[in-house]
Amino acid sequence: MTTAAGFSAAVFQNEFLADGATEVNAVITVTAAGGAAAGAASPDKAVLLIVDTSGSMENPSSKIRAARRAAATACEMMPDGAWFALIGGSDRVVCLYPPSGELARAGEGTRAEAAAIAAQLTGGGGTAISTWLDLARGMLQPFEGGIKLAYLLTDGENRENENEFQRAIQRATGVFQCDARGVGADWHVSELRQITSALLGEVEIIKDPDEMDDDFRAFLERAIGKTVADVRIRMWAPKGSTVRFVRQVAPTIDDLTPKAKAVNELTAEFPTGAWAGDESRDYHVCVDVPPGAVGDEKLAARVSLMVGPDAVSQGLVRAVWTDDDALSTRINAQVAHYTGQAELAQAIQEGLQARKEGDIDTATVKLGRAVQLAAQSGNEGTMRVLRKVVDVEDERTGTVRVKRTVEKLDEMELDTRSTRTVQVKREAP
Amino acid sequence: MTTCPACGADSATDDYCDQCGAALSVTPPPEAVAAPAAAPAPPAAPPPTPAEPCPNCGAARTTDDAFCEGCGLDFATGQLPAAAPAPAAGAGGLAGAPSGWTAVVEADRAFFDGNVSDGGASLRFPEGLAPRPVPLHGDEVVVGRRSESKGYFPGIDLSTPVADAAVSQRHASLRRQADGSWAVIDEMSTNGTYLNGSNEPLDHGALTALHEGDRLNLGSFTRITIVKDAP
Repeated sequence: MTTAAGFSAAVFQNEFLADGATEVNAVITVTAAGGAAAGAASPDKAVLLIVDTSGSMENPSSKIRAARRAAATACEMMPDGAWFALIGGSDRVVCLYPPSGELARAGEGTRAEAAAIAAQLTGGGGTAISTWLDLARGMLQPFEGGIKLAYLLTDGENRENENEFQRAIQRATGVFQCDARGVGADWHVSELRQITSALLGEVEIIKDPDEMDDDFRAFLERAIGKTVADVRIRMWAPKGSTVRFVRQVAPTIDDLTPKAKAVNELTAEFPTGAWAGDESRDYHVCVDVPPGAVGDEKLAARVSLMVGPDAVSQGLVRAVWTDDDALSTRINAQVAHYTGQAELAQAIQEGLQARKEGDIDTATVKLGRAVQLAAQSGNEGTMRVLRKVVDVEDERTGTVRVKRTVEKLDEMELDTRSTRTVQVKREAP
Repeated sequence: MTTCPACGADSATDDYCDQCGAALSVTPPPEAVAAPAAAPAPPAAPPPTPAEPCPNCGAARTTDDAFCEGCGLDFATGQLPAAAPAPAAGAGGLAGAPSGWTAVVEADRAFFDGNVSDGGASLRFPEGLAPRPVPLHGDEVVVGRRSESKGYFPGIDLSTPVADAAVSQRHASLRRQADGSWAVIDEMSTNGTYLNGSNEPLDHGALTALHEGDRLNLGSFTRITIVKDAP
């Protein structure tokens, strides 16, 4: 089957189950390789830049100045033929470019016009993110089948009714993807995470306004690289089974389970958004199947990768019952690794929450466990940030002391960083 | 449409039932316990009279044996058997459409020598064994040793023409990938499967993609090279 990208799926599991056991775990590595540039024409692409223009962006004014530069750079990078717009958001939302409020087609002229407008951004008013999301949704909805990406930058917490915020996220879900960035320390990680978790994006912190330019650039580069729209994981599991979870585990942890859309009684689909021609993601699936007799082999899950109406690749998760404990007690290295990475993310988030509530004992236990897991798995990026929040006595045992004073920026960086995973260390040959 | 023997449902998929997940193609039960592989199987009871070991492969033999259990040498004529014809479809055999890839099975002197120094001194290297191409068909080809009594014939049968006694009955399998290439998975073999001369065996149960010219070593002397057929 020829599609815009060649996808392949590899399954890592120990298929052997003890007599009476029912839980089947597998890690599926999905790789899009090579063919993305060749072959079929890329789908239409629409890119929205949503920049916070509330009053706080002027205080300090380094934020709005950095946003002007970064947004102008991003406008200038829009690839020929892409559809784009620049949106300014405060307690009201305005499509700054193009003034018509419809998407502009990127070309020499439109890029220059948009960059000139970006260079004049000013701040004023409050922050009502639901209105930003609603405008973006209205502009992107007509692009059926295209790649629809948004980048949302804010510096402060959302000042509106929580329900209104959540309803706007719900309305946008499935319409477009959205990355979110918080600049400075006056925004809430959990708030932006609600957006990115539903809209298949990532949340990150921009600690210093000077980093904004690089971050916009990196977003545009990723957006340019996306060539396949709307890739879904379709998972079949046998009658009588229960899907415990379907979780993206690399490059970041994202629980897809609540995003399931039933296809039929035994099959559900999970959205994964747009893909670049050269990316690889890992998924951990866990299924409870009805128990089999020793010697039985059953299919525990059929995991297919869907692009449009086509299955472009599939992986088979099997269950084989055995009375040999040496086989059934073995834990697959990939499954063990990603179980640890998921626990790492959870330990960090719970540790930070406990610290916030003044429960230093719990924070010490959780963050100590996080240090131990990060060390075991070689997750150096997370370890580096953990060390800003705790003093590490022994990585191996997870013996740590929670620092008395922690920079709020470091704490937020650790929170946003917590879901980032590393892939399994390969043994040297 | 296939009718599932386990639950009786009509299944649109023919590998596993699309209702209950039961395996539909007849696959052998996994060999949970592989024979201890350091030496050829001991002769069965009642103990027949021992005779000189096989002059070709050194396997133990009895005066009752007309053919060597290890390499199939005809003791009367001194002839080695011709490469066995591919077993019939089913039982991990070569069912299904040709894939455009071939596994070339041969005896690897360097690999054997490396193993012998590991203490496998009772094994003999099968001299003069010609490389044997096995075209890869279908979606899965099992690598192992056949068991006549269990009616089990792996697609790549390493009990013939000269048995590699250090290969597990169900040692590994080659799996067809969605892009048409093949991958290997070690099925909990006793002595491991080694890719491209590595000293570390492949992880049990982990699927590893194979590329043109990749070499798998297993047992005491077997090398399997994966090659793409000329178009």
